[in-house]
Amino acid sequence: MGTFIGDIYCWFEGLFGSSMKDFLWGYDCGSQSFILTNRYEIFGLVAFISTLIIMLIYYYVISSPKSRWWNWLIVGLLVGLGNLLYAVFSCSSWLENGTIQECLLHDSNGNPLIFNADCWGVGITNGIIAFILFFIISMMGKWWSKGAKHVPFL
Amino acid sequence: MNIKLDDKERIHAIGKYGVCGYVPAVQASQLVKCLKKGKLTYTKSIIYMIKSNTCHFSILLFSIFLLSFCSGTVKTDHGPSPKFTSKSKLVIKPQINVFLENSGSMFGYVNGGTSDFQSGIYSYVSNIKNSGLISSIKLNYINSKIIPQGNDLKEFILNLTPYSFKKKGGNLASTDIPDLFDKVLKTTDNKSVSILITDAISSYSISSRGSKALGLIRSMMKDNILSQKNANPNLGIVVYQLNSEFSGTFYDPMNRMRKLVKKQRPFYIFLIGNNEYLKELITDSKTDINLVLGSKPENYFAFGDLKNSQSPYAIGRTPMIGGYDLDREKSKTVIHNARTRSMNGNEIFKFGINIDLKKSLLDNSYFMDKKNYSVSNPNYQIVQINSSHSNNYSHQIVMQSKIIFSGPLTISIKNQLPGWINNMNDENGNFDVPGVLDKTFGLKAVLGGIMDAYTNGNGQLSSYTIEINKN
Repeated sequence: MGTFIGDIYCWFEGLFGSSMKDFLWGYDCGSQSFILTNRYEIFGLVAFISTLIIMLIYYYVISSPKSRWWNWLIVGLLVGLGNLLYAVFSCSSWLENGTIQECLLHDSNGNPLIFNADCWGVGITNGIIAFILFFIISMMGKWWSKGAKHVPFL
Repeated sequence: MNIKLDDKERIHAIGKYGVCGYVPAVQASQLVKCLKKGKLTYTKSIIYMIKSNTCHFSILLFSIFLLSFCSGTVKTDHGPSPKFTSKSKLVIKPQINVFLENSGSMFGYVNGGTSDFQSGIYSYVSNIKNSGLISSIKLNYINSKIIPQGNDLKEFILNLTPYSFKKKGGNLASTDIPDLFDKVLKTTDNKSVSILITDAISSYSISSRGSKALGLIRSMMKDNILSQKNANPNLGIVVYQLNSEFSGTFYDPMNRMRKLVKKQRPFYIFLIGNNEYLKELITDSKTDINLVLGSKPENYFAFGDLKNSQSPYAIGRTPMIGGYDLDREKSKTVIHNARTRSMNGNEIFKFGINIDLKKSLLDNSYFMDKKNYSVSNPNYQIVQINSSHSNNYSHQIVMQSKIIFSGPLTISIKNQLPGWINNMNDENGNFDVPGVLDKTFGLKAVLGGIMDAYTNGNGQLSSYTIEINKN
């Protein structure tokens, strides 16, 4: 499952680069293997749980017959933004507190391999994936909603 | 990470993000027992994995591994003897057998009792004796037979005179080096290390055997070593070349004599025994031959197998020019999406392979020399070799190519004699050739025969295969 989630994130590898990609896969410089925590799995799990909760709140708590596609879109964008910020802050803290190991941070000449901008790349990726997930979960979960089962197509 | 013991006797690991988990104290105690029995070969890496940011996963692994290891179901990479603890210290200490050749050609090294030869051997053997790394020591003379001399090192060294050499008997008139080795090898078992001190000059008469004499020495040496390797597959041989003052009669291979006065002559100390024992003796500061007084080694070489299981390797993430993705399942040996980068109009693909050669008996200089490597695809070149101080790998081989060729790529370390052996070798035995007295007749035949026994026909010490894919 972790591999499947990671593979989806890696469709957007161009946004964050190969060193960040390997870090998120759990690469360990000492053993030179992928034995550390697969962080794609964590991002994916957080995105799934947050979109599921928001979907349930949207369709079963706050929805009404007046609900329309644009307020669904705003909620979806907020879910995406929340996940974007979560990934950016997680990534920035890993950069700052030394969680990302040296062989991933710098090449043998000391040139940086991971930049702050890569964290935004991870964040944007996470936001996009969370939004897509929100759409999929909405399609699956909306049918039992009393007020908005046709949203976002109305 | 904090480790705490609770009132239910559980050891808690508390990481950066809170409590990670616990191990019952009973299991921890079991771990200690396993360590003492030397059954837990992976303990170090498991404990290493317990980090504050990943501990909630690794503490679970820790418990599972602990149970499986202690139940004795886990296979280890090490052979049954000698045994190791988790810190790779030898549990069974070897017995040391010292063999000092006392044939006539050795008289000049002990004439006067104050040569570098004597002080060096005294200091070296004394260091070994008092190192705490060995169980006991036995001293011997050797020529056509082994002549035991007990274990009193001081008396042994003080009696090193031509007179005592003669008095101890045996055939002093000639030396059959392959036979000398055969005798030493047969007394070297899995739990002992032999130290042979010799000038390594064979007395085969060139006049009677012609050029075939050296070939014969080489073949006999190979045969002797192979016979012993069958009994002890971990057999290793280390050779130090030293110089000492030589005053006395020097015999050439044709048994012609020449008087030498205070002439510097080479001699050799061979260490023969289990690879692990030899590794400890040559690297431990208490027994390092470079720290002895008197004669210090001019040259060094070692013969020993280096199995792939003893020298793990992995493709590194740096240096990287162009790019590649490490395979997530086989990250150490397989790369995908390999691509070149244009630099100053040239396409370059560069990557590094990290290898751990710490278990080899050979010294760093051998591994730092590009000439000692071969690459299966000549388009890939070794551009740099770096020494590494990482715990996992000792060297980094940096490879480069202008074009990417998909498929397997094998980097091999050649098993070949170093240049100094050619420089020290004499094949003529003729006094009249300038510089011949600084050399050793038939040295290359002796050491070449040992090398033949270790190359197994392919001429390689070890090889490392990776797979490069463009996609």
